[in-house]
Amino acid sequence: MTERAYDMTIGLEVHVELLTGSKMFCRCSTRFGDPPNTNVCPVCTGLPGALPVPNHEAVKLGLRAALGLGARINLRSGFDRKNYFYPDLPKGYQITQYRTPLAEDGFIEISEPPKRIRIQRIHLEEDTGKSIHAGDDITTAEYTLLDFNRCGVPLIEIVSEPDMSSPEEARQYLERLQRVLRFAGVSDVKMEEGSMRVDCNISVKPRGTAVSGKPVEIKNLSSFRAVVRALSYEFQRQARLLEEGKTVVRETRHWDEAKESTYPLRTKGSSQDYRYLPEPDLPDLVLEESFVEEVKRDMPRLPAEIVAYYTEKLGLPEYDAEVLTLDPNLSRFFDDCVERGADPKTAANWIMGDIMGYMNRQGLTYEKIPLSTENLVEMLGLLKSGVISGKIAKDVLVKVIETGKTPSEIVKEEGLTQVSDEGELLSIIQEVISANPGPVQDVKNGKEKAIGFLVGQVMKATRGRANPAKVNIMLKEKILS
Amino acid sequence: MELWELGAWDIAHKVRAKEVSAQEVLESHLARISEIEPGLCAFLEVLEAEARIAASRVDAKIAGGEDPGILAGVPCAIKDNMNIKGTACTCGSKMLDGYISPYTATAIKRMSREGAVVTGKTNLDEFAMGSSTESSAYMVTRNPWDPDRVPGGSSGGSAAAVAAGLSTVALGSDTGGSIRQPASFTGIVGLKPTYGRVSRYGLVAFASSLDQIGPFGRDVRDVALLLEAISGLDTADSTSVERPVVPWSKRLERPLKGLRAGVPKELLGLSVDDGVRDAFYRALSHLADMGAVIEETSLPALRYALDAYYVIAPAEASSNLSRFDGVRYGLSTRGKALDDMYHATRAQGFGPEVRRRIMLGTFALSAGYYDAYYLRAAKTRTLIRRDFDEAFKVYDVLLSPATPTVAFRAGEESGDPMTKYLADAMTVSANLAGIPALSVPCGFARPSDAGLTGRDLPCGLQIMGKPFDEETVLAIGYAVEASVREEMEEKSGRMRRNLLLSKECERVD
Amino acid sequence: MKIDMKHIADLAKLRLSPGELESMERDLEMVLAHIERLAGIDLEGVEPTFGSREPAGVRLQQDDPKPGLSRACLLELAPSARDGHYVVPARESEGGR
Repeated sequence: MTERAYDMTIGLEVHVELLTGSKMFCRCSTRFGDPPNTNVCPVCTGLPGALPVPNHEAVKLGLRAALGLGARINLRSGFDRKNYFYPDLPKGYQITQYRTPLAEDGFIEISEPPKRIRIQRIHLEEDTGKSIHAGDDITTAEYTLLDFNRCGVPLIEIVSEPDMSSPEEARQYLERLQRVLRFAGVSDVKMEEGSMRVDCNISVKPRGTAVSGKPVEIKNLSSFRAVVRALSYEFQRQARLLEEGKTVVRETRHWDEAKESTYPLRTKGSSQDYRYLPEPDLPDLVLEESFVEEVKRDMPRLPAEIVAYYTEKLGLPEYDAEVLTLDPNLSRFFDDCVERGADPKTAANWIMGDIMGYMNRQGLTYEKIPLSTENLVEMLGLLKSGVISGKIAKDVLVKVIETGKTPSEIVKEEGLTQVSDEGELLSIIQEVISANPGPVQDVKNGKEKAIGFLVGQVMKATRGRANPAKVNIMLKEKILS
Repeated sequence: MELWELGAWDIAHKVRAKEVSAQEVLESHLARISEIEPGLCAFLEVLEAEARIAASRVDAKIAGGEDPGILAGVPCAIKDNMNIKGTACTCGSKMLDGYISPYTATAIKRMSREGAVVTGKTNLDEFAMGSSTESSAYMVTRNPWDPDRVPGGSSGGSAAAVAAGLSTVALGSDTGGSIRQPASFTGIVGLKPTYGRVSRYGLVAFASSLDQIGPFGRDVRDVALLLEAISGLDTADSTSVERPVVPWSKRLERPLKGLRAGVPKELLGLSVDDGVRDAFYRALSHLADMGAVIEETSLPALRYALDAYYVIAPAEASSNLSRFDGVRYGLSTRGKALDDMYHATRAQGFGPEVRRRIMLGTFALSAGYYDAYYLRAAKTRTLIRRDFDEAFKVYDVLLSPATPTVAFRAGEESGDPMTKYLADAMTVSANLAGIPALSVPCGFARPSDAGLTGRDLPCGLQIMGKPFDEETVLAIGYAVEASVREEMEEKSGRMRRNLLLSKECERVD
Repeated sequence: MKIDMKHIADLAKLRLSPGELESMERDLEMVLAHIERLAGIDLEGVEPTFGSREPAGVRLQQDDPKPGLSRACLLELAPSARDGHYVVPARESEGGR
């Protein structure tokens, strides 16, 4: 392959469903998963004579997103109609913001390589209904079922500049974007559930040439993995075409997850012409400075700020800070532990190690961290004060998670307190010394390492309940004195 | 005097004073309807049962000592492009044949709350596009003054019903003159309120930035009274405004001394029939006699009003009418594939005039033409608005004939659609500027095509006012009305009493 | 002015017969001939007017869900419905993949 001689330019258009209770232009519920066509009214089903009224919370969340992405807010923006016929679009037009978006000129920083991806615009719009194609896929279906529950759910569209030059950069951009929007409380941002939807524009050109290829748009991407795969596939496809001296057609292609390839979605007849029209049913969206200030004031803390706090004020390594800010629930969990008196580094280690390990094994999401901060902090307390050993603590943690009991209860019920009675410990040490003359001799001969074996034997005999540091000292005293 | 001959003001007072019951008033109208309607074709549907329930509710309220509202027992006909829950709303189109609305327009809710009794849905040009009511897919409404002539449009059914005494008052909608022009053609009063004054929620949109619901009545006071009932902020319509509702019906008598009225020469420069021009000038001299200062003035941008209108209105309409796609309601002609359904449904559902405007609007918004047509028209609209702003710094109102001619003959087809569109020349400016405009009868004129034996027909004077100054507009209308009252009452009373429409009109069901 | 009638009819989803297209084209050309006057107006520096001046900014409504219409009521209006859904024909296969 000769792709190496080609460069790609990637731009992303991301649609995100806002976390509102009611829809963008009517008061129907946005609840997900209700029976089809039960959250509908004259407005969102486009009955003749119905009129739109924008949702206050949607505007607020749009502003939060804009602020979180460092964008410039337009205090006066407007709504426009994007006209096209599709059965899931009841009015025959989508209300969006075309002439002037809510916000412009934002950015996302990615780290590998360090790079700023510019965001061109962030605008408000309404979602369409859901089409269920009866048949194998969109091209072979005989009829389509329509559900308008989702129709009119508030969306923001975030349009990046074509600043990414690899699928990996696109993935980083999306992860960072997702993180900001989650922390800002704007959206669930779940690609799998459709609350985040990504369309990619990719164009390929021979390295070193100024001419940029015509962009191809890729749709139907349902995971970050799909985005990366589809972009890689498209890059190869376009590079191969160029290599063969062919031209790349400007078109929209669908990603076929099963076949791991893209295919063109043919539009019949004329090309798209959305005939944008200023929405005559809606006056301009004029924002008071005070409203924007209020949104700024109530803005949740964003990952960058939290990472800085963790590293500078709590002394965590950069890596720990990044992991703990993967998700707002995770970082809130950590913050809560620290607030309850836990040592930040210890808490971070336990969360990133045993707890995240457990969640990974069980396939749990950050929304369901399986124990309370009280219990974790209590357990860390027992550990610190020497009531239980580190090894016991690991078992206690799992039991706390699985039974929901407190660490103290579990330690008490199962008799897991550390053997700190010197008499009891001494007799065990005596037994171990008698049973292992070889290693004892090694220790006497100055082979320090052999002591580890003996400590292990004592731990085994106490089922981990002895304090290993203490055992170490006592063993040495007994053997060398 | 029959009850159907009374005005709204009188009916409401008599009903509230228990001199007559709402049910008696209604029955008188229903009888009148069954007598006259077969030959008039004003109503697409008479809501007899619903009206009887509404009237009995008004009577029950009065019996129970409750306030029945300012329109107690007043029969009101509704243009069939407004939604009433549980009833058809055809918009005069096959596209909505069989559609039963699941909700009620705000203006109708308000009117009913004030005791008005909805008697039926009236005929209109398909989707309110036209000036003759002939583009209705169902029937052609006649002008009660001359059954061979049109009642105007698009609210021709409402105007004819009120003029003929089938309804005391009625609601119409006005996008480019659709209330004022039929009012003028049928010798009644019609008002297009300031944009935003009356909620559009539930009015099937033609051109959203121009549409406004407004009242018809046989006199200015009735129109003022109905306006009071339907006005006011409605949060369901984002373009509705928060302005106080004035008791306009009690503020009609106002000295005209010192009042300044301008006559835009751009409107009189249009080809206005001599008879209409004469009646207009006679009305002006009456106003001058009462102390008004009347001057010719110039609003240069009005010369382009019709051009701007015939870009903006179709552009918005092309988008507004996209929802009629055969998916969720109304006509649906199913083909093998989705696109067949769209094309077949829309080609069958829309009549020629609607198609023409959809095509024109789609073109004006299409890639490569938006700037040259839609955007230029929107900028021209700014010039028109500015000219009005300037004129209203000098004048309290602006006056013109409401229409260039009296009612024209039915079935007149010119090869050039623009000839028909010229009928809106006087009226579209007020919609583009969003200002209130009233058409009030100012006399009679001989149709230019009438020959020697032709009858004189009524014609209207248009009063355009400052935004939200319906008060002045109505007061001047009241003065104009007073100047021709005797003649109007005599002639229209005779017209109604002698109204015998020989042949039934054809209805498509 | 030569209008691509076929294209415009396609955008508007209006299937017109060749005869209808022809007479429609004549009509539109006559209207456009009139409207051409707009091209002669000096609009330098003039802002467009798209709607009314009042209210100056759109009112926003509370984010508080309330029940809309019942499904039964809406689907009764539907030309075709199945299992609580509206039904429409699928898009044309357009020659497959």
